[in-house]
Amino acid sequence: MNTAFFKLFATEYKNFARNPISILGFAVIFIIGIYAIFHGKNTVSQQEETIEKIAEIQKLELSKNKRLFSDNLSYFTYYQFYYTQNDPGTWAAFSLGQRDVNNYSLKLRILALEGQLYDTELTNPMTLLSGNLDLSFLFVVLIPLLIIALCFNLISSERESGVWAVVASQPYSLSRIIFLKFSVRFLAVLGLSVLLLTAALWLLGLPFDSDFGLVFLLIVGYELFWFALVYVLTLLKKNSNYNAVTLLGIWLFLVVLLPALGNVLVNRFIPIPEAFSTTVTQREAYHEKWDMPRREAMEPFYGAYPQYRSYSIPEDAYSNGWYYAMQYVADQEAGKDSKLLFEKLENRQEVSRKLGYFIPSLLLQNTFNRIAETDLEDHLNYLEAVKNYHKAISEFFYPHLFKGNSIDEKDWDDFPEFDTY
Amino acid sequence: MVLIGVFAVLMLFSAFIGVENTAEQNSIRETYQEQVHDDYVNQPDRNPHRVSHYGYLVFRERPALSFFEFGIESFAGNSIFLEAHRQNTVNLSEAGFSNGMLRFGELSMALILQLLVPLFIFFIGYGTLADLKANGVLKIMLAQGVSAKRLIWGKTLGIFSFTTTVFIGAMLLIFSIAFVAYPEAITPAVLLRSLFAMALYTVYFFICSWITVLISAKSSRGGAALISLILLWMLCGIILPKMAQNVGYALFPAPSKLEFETRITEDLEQVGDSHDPDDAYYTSFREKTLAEYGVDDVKDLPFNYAGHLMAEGERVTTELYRSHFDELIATYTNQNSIAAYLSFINPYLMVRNLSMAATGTDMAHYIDFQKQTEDYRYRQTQYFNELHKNEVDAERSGTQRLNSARFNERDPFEYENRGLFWALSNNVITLLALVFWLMLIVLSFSFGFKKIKLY
Repeated sequence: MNTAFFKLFATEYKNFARNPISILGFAVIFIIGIYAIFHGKNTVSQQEETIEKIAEIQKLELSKNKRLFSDNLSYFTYYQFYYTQNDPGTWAAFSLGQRDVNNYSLKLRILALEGQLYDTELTNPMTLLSGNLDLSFLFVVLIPLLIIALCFNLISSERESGVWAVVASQPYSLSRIIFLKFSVRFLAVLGLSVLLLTAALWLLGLPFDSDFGLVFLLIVGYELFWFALVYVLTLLKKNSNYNAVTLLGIWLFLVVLLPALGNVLVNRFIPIPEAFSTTVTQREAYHEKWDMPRREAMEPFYGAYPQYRSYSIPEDAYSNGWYYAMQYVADQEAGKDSKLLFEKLENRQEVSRKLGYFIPSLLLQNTFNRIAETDLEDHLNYLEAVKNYHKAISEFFYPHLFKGNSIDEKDWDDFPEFDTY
Repeated sequence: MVLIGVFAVLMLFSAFIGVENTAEQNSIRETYQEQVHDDYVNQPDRNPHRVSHYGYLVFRERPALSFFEFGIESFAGNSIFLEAHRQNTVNLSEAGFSNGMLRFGELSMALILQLLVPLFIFFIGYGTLADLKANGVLKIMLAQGVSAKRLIWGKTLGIFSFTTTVFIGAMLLIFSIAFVAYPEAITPAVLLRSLFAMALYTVYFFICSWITVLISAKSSRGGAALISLILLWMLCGIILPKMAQNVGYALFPAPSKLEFETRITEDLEQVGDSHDPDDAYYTSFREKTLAEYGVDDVKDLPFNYAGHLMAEGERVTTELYRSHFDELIATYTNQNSIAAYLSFINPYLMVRNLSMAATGTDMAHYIDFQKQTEDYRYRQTQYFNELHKNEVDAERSGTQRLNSARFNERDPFEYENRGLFWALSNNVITLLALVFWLMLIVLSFSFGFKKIKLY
């Protein structure tokens, strides 16, 4: 590197910085970026507001139902909902992922669980369809477009206008000049990315840790990938229009069509009719128990909880033990399908991760969603935690339900709290 | 030619996926729907209130034309449990079982026609006038007395007729194949919807060709026209649709499910709680009933008061739920209206909204499905309450069983399909935008291009 190189660099930088198209491009992306940060922040804080209300609502409902049904525990357990929440991760606002689709505040009763796990959040389906303009979208989808716009005619336009002949007559190596032109633009895009990431760091309160490093490295790598693509195309010496069309085509394939194709393949090769069958099985299993001899219907429950065998169950009248044991049995019968469903969903997640090795946009988005804890895996973990909580509450109530129909005030001390995983 | 080849492969592939996926999903849902119905019909003698808790599961059938346009299908729930007292959400959407890959976009024929064909039009059309300008031929032509209007009309028509022949032709072909393969899908309404969709895309292609030629005419070089067109495409196809929805979401905040349910509960407590024996509203309801029949005790009523009370409770909760639900949908509609108004300047949004409406894959159809199921749920529940009131003894209110034939005489849920005009009536703003675009084009050729300066 010598002073001549730096001089050239400075000249090229001035050229670039004075170009109205590049100024416009950077300005637009920057504004969208700031908007994206606020959109992410707004969406997450709305979810947080909802989550914050949960504790209050839970307390109110508990005290109301305790008062209403003080002498009737079975009514209490029938009407009382227990709230759970999937708190947004630190990075959620950066990459909202599937958090708008999946329910983050499930409530449940100690009735059969399978019918309660998949309750959806109320959302405008059009909003879901359009998706979120968050910062991850900007990096995955828009930055490549900016790179293409900045570089597609970098050499070809000069060749077309005749400037290139003059440049070529200068005593510098041409490949070096091409490299220089790309470097200037790469540094500018990198600068914009750092600026936006810093803004996110500040506005979203992101920690400056190894995750941040990983996100940064991935973004740099992704941008290098796109610059390299344009660079290679430049070497083919085609005209500007050809470059524009080809690059846009490549962008469409890598950012829209290939992930869409991946989605089609995953749905086709890992279909999940179990989603329907668990619902059907659980409902049927539960209701048929009503018409069976009671102890026989309860047998699977006794298998898991033999300590309750000694309590008598009247054959011709309602009893708490019988009623809640049936709920358990219904879940157990749907359990096989439910387990299969979860396995398949994990499988889907795995396949998509592997597809990411071939599709850079997918790799980036998947990693962002993983770090932000906004992907399917996170939701499955949450559902697992909900299942455990359901079990814990049910086991809390079983002894009281079998023994009688009330609960002592002091026993509430042992009431299980929802464990975030 | 390579371009046409790529498009042909994409179109055929997405058509295949669309048709297969719709058929497959519908057959899965049909299987489970039949199972649910068989279970219902073969249920033993039960207490009617038990039956109303046993409830009914409805699986949403995919609209016939969803093989072409996915719309919100992947984000809409597919199964709803209908029971007494509770209005459940429609659950199990495909998006909920996806890890997020589908957020990049879904490969459907409609996506190709809405987003990729405009690019195709731009590519074949960006140079039409700009290149003539750049190499000086345009000057000669104008000097020879060819009017600018004629030039623009001719170039637009050229691009449009080629694109339409290829893509509307492909659409016609694929629709025919799909209908031959699944003849049960054809109804007059579906045919009318298909025809409208084809007309809509024809207009859309004309708008795109017209914009291409106009921008080409105003650019000094082909390259500049191409860049302007691509920028326009990104703005209209990628950025604005997302932003419109995100802004709508921020402007018209919708309640979360938790808030929604809390509001209903609060309103219900204003009215009364039918489980509370001392509740004012239900006490006065009892007094009123007793007075009406001139008796002092519910035991002396000529029917089972428990059933009568449940019917009243159901009526009250349902009324409240429905008014809150309508409010929620009004909020969603407001959120979506940003995109509807933007269709006046963004033809992509115009075609997207109307295409979804025409194919029955928009929000209005999904809400309609929910309303129809809710209506069915209410009628079923009240029927069971009526049975409870008239045929179950008050002394054995919770245990007495009725012959299952009494439950089986009820018709299963059947979604009533809507016609094209119903679908369009939910999209008046976007429909006006379509008219606006058509008028703009007609006016531009009648008046605007007389004075247009190509230099």
